[in-house]
Amino acid sequence: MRAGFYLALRLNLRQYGALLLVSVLVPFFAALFYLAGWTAAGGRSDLDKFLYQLVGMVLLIMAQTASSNVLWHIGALTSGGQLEYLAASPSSPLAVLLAFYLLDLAVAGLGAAAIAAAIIAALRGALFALATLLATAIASATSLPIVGLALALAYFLPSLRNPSPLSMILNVAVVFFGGVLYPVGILPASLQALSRLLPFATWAEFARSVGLGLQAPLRELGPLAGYLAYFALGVAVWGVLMRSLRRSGLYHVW
Amino acid sequence: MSFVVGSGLRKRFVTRERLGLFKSRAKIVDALNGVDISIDRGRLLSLVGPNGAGKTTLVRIFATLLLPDEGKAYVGGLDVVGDADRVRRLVGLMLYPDKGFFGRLSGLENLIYYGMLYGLGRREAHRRAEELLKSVDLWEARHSPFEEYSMGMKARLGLAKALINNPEFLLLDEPTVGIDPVGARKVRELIRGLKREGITILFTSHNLYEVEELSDEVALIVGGRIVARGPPDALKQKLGFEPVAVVRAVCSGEERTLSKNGDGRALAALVREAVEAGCEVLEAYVREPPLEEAVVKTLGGS
Repeated sequence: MRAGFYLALRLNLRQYGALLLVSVLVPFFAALFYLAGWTAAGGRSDLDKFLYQLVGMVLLIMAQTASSNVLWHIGALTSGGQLEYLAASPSSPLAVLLAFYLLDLAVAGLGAAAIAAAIIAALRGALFALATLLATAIASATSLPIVGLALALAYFLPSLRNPSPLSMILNVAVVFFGGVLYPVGILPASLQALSRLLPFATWAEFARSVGLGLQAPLRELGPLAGYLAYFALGVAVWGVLMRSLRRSGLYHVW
Repeated sequence: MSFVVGSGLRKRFVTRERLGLFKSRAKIVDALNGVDISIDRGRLLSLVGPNGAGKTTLVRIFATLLLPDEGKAYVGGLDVVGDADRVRRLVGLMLYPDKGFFGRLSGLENLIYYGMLYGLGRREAHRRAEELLKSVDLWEARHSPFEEYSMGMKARLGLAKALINNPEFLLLDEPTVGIDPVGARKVRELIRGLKREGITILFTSHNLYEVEELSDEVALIVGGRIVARGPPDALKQKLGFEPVAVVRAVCSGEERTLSKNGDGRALAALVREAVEAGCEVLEAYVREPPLEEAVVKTLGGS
């Protein structure tokens, strides 16, 4: 795992400018969504809606790191020949990948959360800012089911040779059924049922309750633990993928 | 028992060949058809053969990257399938000169990462990486991003990466492909140095001059089978290529070239014959057929 942390740290140090830019975009996009809502509501929209979008954007970045980034990293390792060397080493490719993800999440999530917390501190006070940071930490700790979905979809990478269609599926699921930008309660009942099958909405609502409501909805802990089955599924599928690569030799796709 | 052993190795790849939008058929490639191979400790065995002959498949099986369908392979007495984790610690691998590294990271950072993959602590990996960068002559470029390296530099970094875990068995799959002559010579010098250190090496290359220069033994692999094997000179003889004694002489005012199969003894006899016939010998030498000629003619090329 240490190798994965080292790799992620070194690569992130090379692109801190881009990461900073993404963090700065959090309040920008939150303000845009708020303005859209304000316009649609004929000029009636309270500050809480802006804060809702702000925390939602932080969660969106974290969800993208857990889903899209993981897939793109696997894609990059595959096309660059690194996965083959990783598989030929005594280290576990999954452990290296998870270490990479954790550091990626810490860097991307922390940047976005720090900016959001600073704005919340100015608008709502220090307590809410601290709660936002705590919510981000909780969201990080409970993001494994999303990683699991990405790992499961990675099974199709050797055939598709491009992570883009797979990450697109996850991004659409996060944005439309994920409850990060709007509550899933406004969706039709059938889509709400679909949303409950996926791990995003409960994850987002739990973090948002901690950050903006200063309360942890303990009743959601059960479903959150249940969604860990997605992580178990992802790990199992990853194992199947690595075994199939050992049979086919198709580690690299370039 | 040899340090590296493969017996009865078979590997079949099945892919789908697309014939239309909804039509496809299975395409079967028998990459290895019962390969027996062994390498004694400290020896360098080269695998030569046409593209698709099974060289890389064999390398990947010994690197634990590929499972054989049949047969057994051992490195240092360890089964590459059953003891894969322990085999990985013994093996150093270089699959291609320009892949496997992170372009934005420096040569030093890339090597530290690979050192840590083999269980070295960060400091130990750093020390080992610096040591290797000096030995492959990349010290000056150690902080430059990998993406700025020339092909020859990338190949030398690949070799350094393969050595990061102090391997006992080194797998080098076409390490000089695509490299300019000067860079290739540097890589060959490094490989020669590793041989002197007693590392067991399995080497593949299409450059048969370097194969002849470096190898203790050469195995000719065709269609997934090893069809001939031995030290380069013995292999040439096995393939029907012997040294030729050649004498260039002027006989009765006319320049002639006399030749006879054989080495020094044949040459002496040829010179004696020429002198006895009243010819003036201009030049006499034994022509060793290069391995390339022997292999190319054996494979049916011109």
